[in-house]
Amino acid sequence: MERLSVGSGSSCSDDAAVAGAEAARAAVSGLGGVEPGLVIVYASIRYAFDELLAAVRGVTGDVPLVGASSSGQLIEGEYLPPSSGVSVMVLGSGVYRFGTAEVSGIGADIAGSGRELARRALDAAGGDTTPHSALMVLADGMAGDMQSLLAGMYRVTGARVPVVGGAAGDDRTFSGAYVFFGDRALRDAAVAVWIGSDRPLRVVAGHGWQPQTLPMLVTKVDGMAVEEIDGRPAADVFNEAVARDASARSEYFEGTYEGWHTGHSFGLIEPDGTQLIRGGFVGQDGVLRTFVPLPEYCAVQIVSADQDDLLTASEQVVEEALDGIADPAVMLVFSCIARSDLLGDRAAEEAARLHKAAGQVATFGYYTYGEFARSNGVAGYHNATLTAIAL
Amino acid sequence: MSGQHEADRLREQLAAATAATRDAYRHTSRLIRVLTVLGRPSSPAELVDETLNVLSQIYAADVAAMVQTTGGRLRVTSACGIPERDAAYTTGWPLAGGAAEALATGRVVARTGADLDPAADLPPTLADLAPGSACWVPVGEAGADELLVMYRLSEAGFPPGDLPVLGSVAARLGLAVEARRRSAAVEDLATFGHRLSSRLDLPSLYAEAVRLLPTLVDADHAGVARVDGDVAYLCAASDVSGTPGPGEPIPLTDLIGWDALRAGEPYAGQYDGPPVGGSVLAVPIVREGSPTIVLYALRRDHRPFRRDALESATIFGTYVSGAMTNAELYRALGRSENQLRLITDSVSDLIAVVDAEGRFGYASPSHERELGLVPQALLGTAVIDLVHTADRPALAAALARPSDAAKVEYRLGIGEDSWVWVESALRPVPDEGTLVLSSRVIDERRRLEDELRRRATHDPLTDLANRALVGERLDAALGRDGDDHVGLLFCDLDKFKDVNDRLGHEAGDELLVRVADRLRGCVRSVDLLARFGGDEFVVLLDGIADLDGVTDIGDRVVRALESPFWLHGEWVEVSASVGGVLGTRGRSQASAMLRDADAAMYAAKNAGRGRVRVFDEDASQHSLGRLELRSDLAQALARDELTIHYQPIVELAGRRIIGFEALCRWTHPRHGPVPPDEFIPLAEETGAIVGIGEWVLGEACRRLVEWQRLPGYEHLRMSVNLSPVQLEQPEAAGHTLGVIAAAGANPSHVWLEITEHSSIRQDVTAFATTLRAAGVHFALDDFGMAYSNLSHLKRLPVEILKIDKSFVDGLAADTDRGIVRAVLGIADSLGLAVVAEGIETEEQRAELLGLDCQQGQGYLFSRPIPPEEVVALLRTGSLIAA
Repeated sequence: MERLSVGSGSSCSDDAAVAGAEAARAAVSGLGGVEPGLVIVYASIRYAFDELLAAVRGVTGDVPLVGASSSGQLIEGEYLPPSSGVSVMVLGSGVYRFGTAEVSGIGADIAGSGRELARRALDAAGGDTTPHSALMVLADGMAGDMQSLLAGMYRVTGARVPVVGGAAGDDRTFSGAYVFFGDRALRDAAVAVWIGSDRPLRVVAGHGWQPQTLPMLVTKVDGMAVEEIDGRPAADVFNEAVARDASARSEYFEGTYEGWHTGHSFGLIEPDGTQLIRGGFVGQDGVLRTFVPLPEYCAVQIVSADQDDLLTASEQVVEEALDGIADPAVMLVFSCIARSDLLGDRAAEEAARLHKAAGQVATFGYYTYGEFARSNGVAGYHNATLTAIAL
Repeated sequence: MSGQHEADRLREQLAAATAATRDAYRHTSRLIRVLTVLGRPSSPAELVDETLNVLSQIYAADVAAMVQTTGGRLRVTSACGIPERDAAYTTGWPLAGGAAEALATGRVVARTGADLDPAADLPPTLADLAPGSACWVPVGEAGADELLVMYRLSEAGFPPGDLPVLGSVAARLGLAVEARRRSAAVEDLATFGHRLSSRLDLPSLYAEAVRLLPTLVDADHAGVARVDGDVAYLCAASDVSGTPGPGEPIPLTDLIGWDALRAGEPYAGQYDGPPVGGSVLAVPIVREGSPTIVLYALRRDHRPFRRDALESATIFGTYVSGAMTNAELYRALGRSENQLRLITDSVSDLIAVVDAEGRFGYASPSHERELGLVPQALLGTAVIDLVHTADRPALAAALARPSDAAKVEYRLGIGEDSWVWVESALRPVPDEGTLVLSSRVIDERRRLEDELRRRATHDPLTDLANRALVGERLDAALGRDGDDHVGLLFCDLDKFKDVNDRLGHEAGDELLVRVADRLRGCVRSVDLLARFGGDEFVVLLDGIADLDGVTDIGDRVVRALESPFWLHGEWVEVSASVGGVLGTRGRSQASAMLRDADAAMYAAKNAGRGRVRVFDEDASQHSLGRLELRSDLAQALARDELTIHYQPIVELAGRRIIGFEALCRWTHPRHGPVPPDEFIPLAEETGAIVGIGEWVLGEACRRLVEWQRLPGYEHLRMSVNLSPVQLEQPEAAGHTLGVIAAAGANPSHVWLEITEHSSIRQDVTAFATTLRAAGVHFALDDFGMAYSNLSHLKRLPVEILKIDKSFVDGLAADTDRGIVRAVLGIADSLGLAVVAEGIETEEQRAELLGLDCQQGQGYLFSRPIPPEEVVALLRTGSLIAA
């Protein structure tokens, strides 16, 4: 099987049209004459998206385009912090079969939207005719429970098709995130790419978080608010664990913003004993909240991470994603904004170490508000995690 | 070094302990997570979807599916992890391996690694997924046709300890789905019955049937075939492609399932076309011993129709049959006058045809049977001439615009000064300008309504007016124009309690009756004399010059009681303390007058027995700490002085607690407990009831959610009283729903109790309909105390009538038992349940059960208790008398 052609480019120009055109031109020039098959765009919300996307498409033509607003980007070892620029990747046609789709108004019926999105992507790819497939999804994560979106998609993809992707970011302003489809920027929406392949495709995830408490049972949940853990007020339990952990460590990192201390999260105990990360924070009203509803009566541990653990996990994810994949050309990565917050001054290191670990393989990704990586069973929406697929 | 070694050893032990705890938590939380999903309200399809999602998550199962045996194969009915376009949903999998074993034995089968037989255990559509372990869980006993199936890529297998758990999860899933399917079908049937019966010609009835049947039994298509001799004709179909044309005869032997249908039995099976293949459900409509119509439903995906679908379709068939009878009668009606006579002669309803001038053109023979009116003599007579003058405007209006008035009630003269109440439905005959009047005698119902109205406005002991009637008349009097004034006297018997204590209640009651008689003699004919319960008498003076006039009549009351009463063999002396106030028409408030007269009466009592005190406006203003109470009440909620007590509502037969009524209590920091009938009206006056009512609803809903977590009480319900004032708030419906939602309660477990008084307001219908649509239920409180027209009940989505304590108290008396029986009969005919309030004795419970009243509350079971005691009560049931 021939190798996929890829090209990428970025721009931090203040002018949306200039930035879009610059990044797209750089990306297309990297293809070496191969016809583009798919354009992926990640951009800061500082841009007027209609101008930006029109400029990109001025270069790429009407090649299917998907993308998302971001909270920073990673491109070929370079780190673009939030509010800085736009990155474009163009994948050549011919090696994989791409089918792109969008669905809007996802908040009203999140599982139904997931199902519809997967159906449309599958149909756009001409049906499930290749031996292997994967689905890449970019979504407005603030529109609802992304695990439900995934559950809806799972009804269409089934167990054979892994899912990877991320929730769109908004430069950490929480003013609203967008996904891109063709020349449109959409809110309360999701886009997907069905990737049909002759060779196996694998989705991987890793995080580097370590459990800091004994396992506990979440005993009362009201939507995003966690009310009781082990029958006690949840915020008390969380704060106690954070304080205990902080005092036990000589070095302590804590990304913060708006009172959200990202240094600690929930680890949902998975059937294999590993942890599925769910970000949690105690708000100014004293309520402990998560970004994805915790299932009532799930078993959790409170987890924390230090910077080295996070960076080591990045490298492991790359190794695992590349392992056994014949002649990969690009690694698409989705890393959580919480990770870059925690990395603080060392945020740029993640892009560099990912790139180094990937060797000759191009790296391209963005900082998300939640990551998709579904491999076994229906569960596969993560927080504070790095997910990836090699093509 | 040894210290380091020890530390390492301890660290290892900690890690091992943590891992063990993690496993333990993971295991124990599994069942709870699934059961949480099973308990959540959802449709059957959502329930299955959500359960499969959770199973996939907690077992990392790549595939979790429900499968069913169909024609010797396993067909997937719902799945998490199998693509929706997979053939597993249509042609299914071979029935073999673990699945076959699980179905045959009714036991859970789990296999992993080398034990998995790829040929038998792995269906073709999953082969390239290469599962490493699998389990098959029967839904129900051996012989069940449904399985929960899970496959995992991992060879770790499903923990043996979890298998019984999975068995019980599958069983509960099966039960939950069946229960929800049934309740959805019952709801559908209720609506569909009406829709079918509104079709008065056969073609549109059949068309409606094929529209509704697929929804009812979850089918893709439906059809109706009419049997005529040896052949059948398709007379309606939801999808006509490939079906025989309407005039094309189909031999009966070609009808799917004919062998069962000809015996009057429904049929469910598979059919492989033409015109289409799939699962078929057929229900015969049998008339005169043989099927005349066959209803068909079809599922293209071959999912078999289960018993519940068969049952629902059979009931649907009886509805269609009933609607056919209606339609045929209607058609017959239109055919000719002779036939019309034939039909109307045989029905007991009074059928009449009146011309454009309102004169009888035809009257059915039942007029003579039911009313003694000879039909021939009625012809040419104007209907209105036979009607009571008071009721003529209503009938005239209905005759003039029959389409506006569905029904009209009036009195029909059947002899000199002899009237019967009838209710007529009016239907215009198209193009003829005539009307068909279909009437029924409703004397008995009106009598009952009159009796209820009288009871609602009169004191049963003395037959004097009661508080409600005084309130009504006082409002009316104050609302009328006039130069004179309205007076009010409150009279309280001094030392009445002593008489009661010394001579007993019977003597006390007799004394009250005698006092009433004397008071009747001393008030003016225009005055309204009332008893407010106990020894409190009230006189409403509609038309009095000034305060002196009030004092005069007060003095007459005091003098009327001066001479002693001969009671039970001895002379008994009583006196009355009388308070009076004067109200100005158009300005004074009834509630303020009642309050001030009460205060004046207390002032009279304090001044010594047998006195009269009248309050002018100034005195009223400063009379009582009521004003203080009013302002204190505004703060009561903020100061945490309000509490809620909960009185259990039980099933009378088994004494099982099915719900609670939330009752607000106020403990005043200085006066102590303030009775609800004192502070609730105050709160209503001041508007504080809005905040208080909202707090009570929210608090009660939060408690409900808490108590529903106790095993066995998932369906516990909470009744909360709703004040008419709350209903007047803008967006009351949305607001009320918001409070329920914020408390996390399921609206369908919340019962709002509205009083009859508030329920007759127009805007309540919209409020209640909105909330009912969201799941909230309604009960009519204090039934029989104020209601005046039973037909209002039909307009409201009320599902429960609460019989007032006074009826229950009077059960021993034949008259009251008759009333209760009548109320239960009405409730039954309207499909309403009845809750009896104030049950205090075992005898009352037995009486009520004997009258088929199933639910109740009262001190016999439990007083209202604080929330802290409720949990203990629910756990032990210890307060429920054995």
